[in-house]
Amino acid sequence: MIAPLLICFVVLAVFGVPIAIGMGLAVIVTMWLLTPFPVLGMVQRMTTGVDSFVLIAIPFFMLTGRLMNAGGITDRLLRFARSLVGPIRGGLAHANVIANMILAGMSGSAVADAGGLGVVVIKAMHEQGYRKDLAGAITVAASTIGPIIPPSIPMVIYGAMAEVSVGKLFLGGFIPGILMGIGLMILIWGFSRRENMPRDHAYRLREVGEALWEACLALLTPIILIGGILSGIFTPTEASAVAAVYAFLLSFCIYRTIHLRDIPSIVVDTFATTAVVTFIISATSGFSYLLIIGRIGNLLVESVLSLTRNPYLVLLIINVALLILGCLMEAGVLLILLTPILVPLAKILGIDLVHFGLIMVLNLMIGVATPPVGMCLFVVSEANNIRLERLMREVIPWVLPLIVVLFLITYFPALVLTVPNWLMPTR
Amino acid sequence: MVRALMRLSDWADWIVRIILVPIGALFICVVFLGVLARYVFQAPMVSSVELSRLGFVWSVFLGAAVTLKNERHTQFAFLLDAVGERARRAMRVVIDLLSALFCGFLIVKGAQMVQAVEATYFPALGWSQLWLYLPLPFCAVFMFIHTVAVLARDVLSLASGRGARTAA
Repeated sequence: MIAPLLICFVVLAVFGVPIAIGMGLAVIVTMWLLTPFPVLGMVQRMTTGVDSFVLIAIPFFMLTGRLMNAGGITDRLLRFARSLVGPIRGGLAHANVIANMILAGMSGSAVADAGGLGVVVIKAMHEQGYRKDLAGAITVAASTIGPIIPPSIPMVIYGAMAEVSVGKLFLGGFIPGILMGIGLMILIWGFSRRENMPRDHAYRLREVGEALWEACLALLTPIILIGGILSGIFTPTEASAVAAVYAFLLSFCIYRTIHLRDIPSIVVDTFATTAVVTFIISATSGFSYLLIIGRIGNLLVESVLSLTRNPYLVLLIINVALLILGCLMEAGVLLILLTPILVPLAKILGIDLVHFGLIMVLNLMIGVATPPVGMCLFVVSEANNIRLERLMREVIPWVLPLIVVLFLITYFPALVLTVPNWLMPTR
Repeated sequence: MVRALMRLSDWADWIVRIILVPIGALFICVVFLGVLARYVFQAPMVSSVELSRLGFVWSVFLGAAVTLKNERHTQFAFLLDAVGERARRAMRVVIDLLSALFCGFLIVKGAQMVQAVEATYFPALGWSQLWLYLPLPFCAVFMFIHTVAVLARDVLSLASGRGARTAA
């Protein structure tokens, strides 16, 4: 049953049928021809698959990112980051990474960060004398920090599908996200002389204070989000709604950069973008159901255990496979397809599911920055008029620190688990 | 004929957007008010979780209809890019046909599902569960209109040998 299901889906997907529709058709045909279950079950699963309080966080985090960009908050964050590291060689490149790390605490989407902050920072870097390809490559790599430092849309998806605490996943992303930033900044430092990267004038303390004052309200967003979740005031889903309302109040009432007439298009855009992911989740619900009936999880576990019982070796195999698949397929689709298949394997091998979730999400985020199918590459190339093939070549060294961090968190689980076990020991 | 279908599709998209804006905005407010009610006013809204789940399901499928209209659903295009112009047009017609078939299935089976759950109720809201299952067939109607309009455009393009937009 599973082989025809997979073959049918792959044929339809390769043919160019939209993933959600291809998946739905494959499930319907398999259910109809090869199982005794009524196809009405597919419709039921499509609805119940998205009837989840956890998934509600996705549009809210998207909305927060959109409002932050539309409200000019990203400019304020960049000015603040620039005032901190601008005077050192390659200061604006460092500021790019720092601004992405701060924005990561608000938006949770690599593509949104690359499309919003990316446009502002690449323009500034190019005007200061950086090669546009280089500025684009650094931006693509830095934007992948977005879904690692909390909040994170992929972690919400993984948490909902694997039934893992989203709060713990969020906290697990802190150290890996900071390590990614440090890794990229070390590489910038290494490249700065060879590329003759410029530096800003020395900022006076007063200028730093002004930049901090301009950005301080935006900088409160991650504190509200994480503080609210940790103190138990709200769940991650409610935190996402609070962040969206806060971003709206900042942009609409305080900075006055968006107007009432902009709201309908922002709402429609947010839900249309959300639907790209959630419609696939909806269609995949039937797929997951057939995987359970077909005992695909058990079959995979048995085949892997016949090869090795060493969890570290299994993680190495999974990492290599995900890195390759991440280059070829869209990260969100891979996450939705592979979570129900790989999580049973991780459970049997005794791998902590928060640790495993971080490995999967970081791995797939590397995928959004690697050619040939990397969403951030496409967004940065299109939004900044950089030739895609040049950007693809330029990005390769910038992905290396991310891969190093991936292997560090794979083999040192404490890098992921220390913060959640410390701050949420009983939840 | 194609122009009329495209106009119908534009009109359907306008309706979906008109419905999506208040539902989306209301849904955001419900989740936020749920937090306010519990922690600020110390009066939890018991039904806010069910109401927000309901709003989310509606938003997901209405959003899916907007995305289908904009032809933005994720797909692999490497085979489409690799083949010649005529083969690509033929492939597009097949993709449109399969999409229309899928939407038709969602309308028919979705309507049956709505009937099947009509007599079951949300525990806190007390509303019929049909409101949870209705968005799928309801939005599938709009998706069906979009796919049929695109199918007609692509069939004309294949027959006339001109680009899809020019043909329409």
